[in-house]
Amino acid sequence: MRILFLLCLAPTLLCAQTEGYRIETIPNPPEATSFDVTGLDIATDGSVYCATRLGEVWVLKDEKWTRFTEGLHEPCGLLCETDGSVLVSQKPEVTRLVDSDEDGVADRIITFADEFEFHDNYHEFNHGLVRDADGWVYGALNLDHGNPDSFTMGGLGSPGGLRGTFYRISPEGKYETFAWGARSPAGLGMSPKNELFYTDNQGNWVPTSFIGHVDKDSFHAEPTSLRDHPDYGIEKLKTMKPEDFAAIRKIPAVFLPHQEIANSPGNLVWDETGGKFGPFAGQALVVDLTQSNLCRVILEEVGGRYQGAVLPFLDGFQSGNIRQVFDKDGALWIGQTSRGWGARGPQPFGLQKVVWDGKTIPFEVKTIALQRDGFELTFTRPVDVASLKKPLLQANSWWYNYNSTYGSPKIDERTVTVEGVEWNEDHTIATVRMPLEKERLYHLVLGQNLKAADGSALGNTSIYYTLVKLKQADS
Amino acid sequence: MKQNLTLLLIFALAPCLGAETGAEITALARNTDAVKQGETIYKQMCFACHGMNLEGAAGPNLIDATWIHGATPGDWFKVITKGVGEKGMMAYEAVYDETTRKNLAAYILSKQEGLRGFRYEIYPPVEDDSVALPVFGSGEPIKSGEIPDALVDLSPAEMQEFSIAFKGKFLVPEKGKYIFIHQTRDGRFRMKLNDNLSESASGNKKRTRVVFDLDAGEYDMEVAYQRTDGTPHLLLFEVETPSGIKFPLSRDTHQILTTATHVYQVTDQARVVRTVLENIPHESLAVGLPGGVSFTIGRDGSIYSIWDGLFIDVGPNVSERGKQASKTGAPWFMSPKGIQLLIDDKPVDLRLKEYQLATSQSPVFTFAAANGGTVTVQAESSDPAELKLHYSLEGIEGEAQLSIPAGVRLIKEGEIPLESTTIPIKDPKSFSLSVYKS
Repeated sequence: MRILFLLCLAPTLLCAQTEGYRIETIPNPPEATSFDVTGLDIATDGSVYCATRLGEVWVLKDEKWTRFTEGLHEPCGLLCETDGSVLVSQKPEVTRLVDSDEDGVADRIITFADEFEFHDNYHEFNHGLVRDADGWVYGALNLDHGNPDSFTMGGLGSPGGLRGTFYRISPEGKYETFAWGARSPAGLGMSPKNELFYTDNQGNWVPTSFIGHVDKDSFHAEPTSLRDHPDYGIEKLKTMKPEDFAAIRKIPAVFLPHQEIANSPGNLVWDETGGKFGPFAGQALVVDLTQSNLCRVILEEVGGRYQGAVLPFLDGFQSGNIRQVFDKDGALWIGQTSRGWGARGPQPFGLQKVVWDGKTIPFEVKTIALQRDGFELTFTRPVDVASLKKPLLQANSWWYNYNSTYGSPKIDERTVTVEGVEWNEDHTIATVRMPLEKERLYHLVLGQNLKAADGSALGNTSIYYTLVKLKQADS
Repeated sequence: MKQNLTLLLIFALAPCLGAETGAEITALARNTDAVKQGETIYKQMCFACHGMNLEGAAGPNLIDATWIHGATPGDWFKVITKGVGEKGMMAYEAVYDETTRKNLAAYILSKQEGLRGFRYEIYPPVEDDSVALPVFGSGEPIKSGEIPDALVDLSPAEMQEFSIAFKGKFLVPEKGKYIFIHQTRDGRFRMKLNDNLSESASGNKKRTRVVFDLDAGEYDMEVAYQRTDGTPHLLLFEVETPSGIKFPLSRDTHQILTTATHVYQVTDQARVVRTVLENIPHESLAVGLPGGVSFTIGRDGSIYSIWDGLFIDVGPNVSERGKQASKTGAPWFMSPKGIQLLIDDKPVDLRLKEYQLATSQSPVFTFAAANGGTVTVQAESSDPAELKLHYSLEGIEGEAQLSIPAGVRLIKEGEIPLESTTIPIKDPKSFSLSVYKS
């Protein structure tokens, strides 16, 4: 069925907005009774594949929707393969869909991996999927909720079967557990450096939602998955204290402050469009379901680990954002759902894309980099320094508890005194000196009066930098 | 304390979009003549789809807190004006002038009822019945927040052990007797509506029904809940209005009362659906055949149930968070063991490898045996009272049998039934079995 594409450009109300970017709404497949897009990828021929919570996979090609398959169990991940097949992470397994007779509909539904367990609990999502340079495919298994038969460490639970773990599958189908400690790992992302990152949702053992760097055998947050770990098990877990888990956990790379940035983040993508998406090439983007927003993420390696900042980018999406992927033209497609979990966006589900107009360089903080005695902020355009009547920015900092309590308030919140600001010659880089401590989240709020040399006001003014390690003299 | 309902609505439904229009409609809701004209129009045009009491019919309910196209009077005016073409709601801008359309929105505003502005606070679990349930605002909660769609909702806890307190407003549009019904699975519950109190103690699984005589207006409502250890959370909570309309006050009730249906019909092609099925082992697949017979096949190759008629309604499993199991038609049999393949008297350890869904062909399920070899199962049905199962084995040695659970009928009416619960297979490479409806 050919459908008319009406792009809804105007009605979107943005609280965080970035000049030069617009949100376009893609009409849902007319025959889809629900279209909660929780798996999203784009094939090499440009076809957009959407897996929905109802269990269907829809394909958009040449402005025409086709149903590729149905009957999957609430898939929460989709990955297009170069051979034309499609991988989906549905609740009981990872499945390969093959259209062997090339009629546009999958006719072979092949089990690709099923080494984990699913126990019919609604919360046992199978999030994914991303691929590394060697062809391994990665996913993550949600813990369950409200199951009296499950073992819990105070929050979500697992009756066993590798719930709360990250897995990877080789191109030949070899399955292995990759890492531990996930709670609700609703989004994965593979960086340009071939490193796995994920987001987790605030809850017990997750003080606020975060982005974590996942390497082999790492442990991240929720201890429940360790019931299946050969070195732990339920009896040992029962004897362990929060400080024991703190000693083995990998502190998140970027905390996403609750309500202010995210409540239930989805997946990460990196802008590898080479400038087709605007001036933030190389940076990561993270979506959030509850806030229906999109934020920029700037990561850097400090002291042998990742840490960095999150900055508001765009608000006002029509529904809860959970999946995102770039197309070859540099547009960012976003899959959406809000069923069962409320979202700011009023629509129950849908598909939108973010498009840069190709010319506007918004006046924004382009990058932030940690210094030994502060931060270096690079702006997209020269700043009218002479017009600054107030300090460039104000700062405060805090940290979070790590224990079985649901979420954490900001603890030990303090104002940070800005000791000085130096500008480079063309006023695009400000070096801000302030006292720094490790394991603190720094919130920098730039002055509302900040103007570019051409008089433009700064777009987004908040930066949240998670400082896990201080920068040493030689780093 | 009861206050003016319309004043409350100004707060509760403060318009965000179309602010001026929304404010105007809010003012009109205090104007008796405007509301009366709106009511007249409603009862001429709108009741057919939305119900005479705005309770919903083909169109959605217009008095609760659930709104598809926006929750503010300004949003309603926009829908009345422009319609929702794909849902069959016509645009009334060509039918009624602007004032009439605003009066219609004002009438809807005047009829709002139920919960609004509800917030929750989660506390540690209450040790035993001698300890009072938590009171909203009385302590330092573990977690707190808003309930956006005004239903008492246990989901935000996302933890096994907790107690929870709620507080918000209950809107009463007309004077009369309101019947509140609440029920838990063994847990403790308390509701307070201004000074009206109703509680159910731990261990009480029965429905509690209380009648409160209420004047029109706004009431403070507080709710608290604590489950008994080991039972799944379930809180049924609903109210019946003087008009006889029943509506949910908790999310669990909402899911049960909402006719969440999503039926898969089978016409000329077989369908395979993976979903949660009651009393069927995890991860089984539901298969509907064009002949009118359906069955479930496990990932281990066993046939767990067969039925005819309705293939499957996945509605309960794809609404809200999807906590409920999908429904099938009445089974000819349903067994946790199923029709199972045995080799040398032992079940074969099988795992689903693939299924094929070619057009105009019965689906073919291929299973890999742990010790090597494969088993394929293909089902067909040309008679709505018979399911034929075709098995093919490759690379599996030994004496094959099929284990048949009680209740499975293998012999047509009038023929001599088999006495054994296992059937020996003469040619294990390829054999068939017919199961009949009782």
